[in-house]
Amino acid sequence: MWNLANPTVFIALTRRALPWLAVATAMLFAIGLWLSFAAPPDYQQGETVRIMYLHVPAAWMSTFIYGVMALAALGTLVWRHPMADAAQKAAAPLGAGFTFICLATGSLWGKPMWGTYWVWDARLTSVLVLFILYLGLIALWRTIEDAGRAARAAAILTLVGCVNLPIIKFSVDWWNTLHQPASVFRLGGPTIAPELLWPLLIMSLAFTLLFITLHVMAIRNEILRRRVARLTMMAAARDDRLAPGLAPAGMRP
Amino acid sequence: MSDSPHWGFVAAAYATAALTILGMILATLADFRAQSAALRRLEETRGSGGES
Repeated sequence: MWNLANPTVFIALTRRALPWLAVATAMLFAIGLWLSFAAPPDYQQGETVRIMYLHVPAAWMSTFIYGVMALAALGTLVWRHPMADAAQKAAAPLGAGFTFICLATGSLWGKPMWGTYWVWDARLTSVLVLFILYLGLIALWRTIEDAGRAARAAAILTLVGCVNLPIIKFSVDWWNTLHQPASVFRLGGPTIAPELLWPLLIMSLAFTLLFITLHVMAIRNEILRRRVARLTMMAAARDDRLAPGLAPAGMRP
Repeated sequence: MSDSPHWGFVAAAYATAALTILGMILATLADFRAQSAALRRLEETRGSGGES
């Protein structure tokens, strides 16, 4: 397990694992999509219930990815391991993407069911805050030039943002909202009929595998980016040694 | 399905999700190609003794 924290070992492993992960993800999506359209319409919502097979997995992924980032943030702050920062940085755009899918599909589901694309209720607003948090973290990494400082600042902001996760989860219980309460992960078991529940679970697995595949690819990209940065700095230092007069005055030792 | 008065919302939701997922996949692949090309260039430069 700890070997995976070695960038060279990680890259060698991704070469072998990625084709399998990609094939498994594509197969799960094919099965999940087929089941989603083969499932019967809901007795109240009719055909619009098919939006659930995208909206609910995307919503689960949006909070799951933030949880992954929070764990990686602990790795950055406690062990100061560069792979933890790489994992956190690689997950942020994916988290933003899945949260965008959750918000957009929820809005398209809300219009025919609630009569409006958007309401400022607790669940919708807290998920919007999560989306803004993802964008803020991406901006933070791009703004701070020193990679170490950026990693620590992003890790602290990620951990502070964790306060939003229980708000998202329990908002439908704590406040009156248009959004329905939990219907799958709840005490007393799911309230969804098995014909609708199975496609939902398969699609959730497909979304999870898609995230794992893209996250592994994005961590690999981050490792390569850091190698490029290191080699560029070494090349600049070598050029400066060979021809010191050519370097700008402020950059000479 | 197409008889439903709300099929447009279902189609729009699936199209939005497909485009976003495709965007994430393409962005990740494009980043990999860019980093690999940059790394190859730098290693070639280093291998040729820094002459560019």
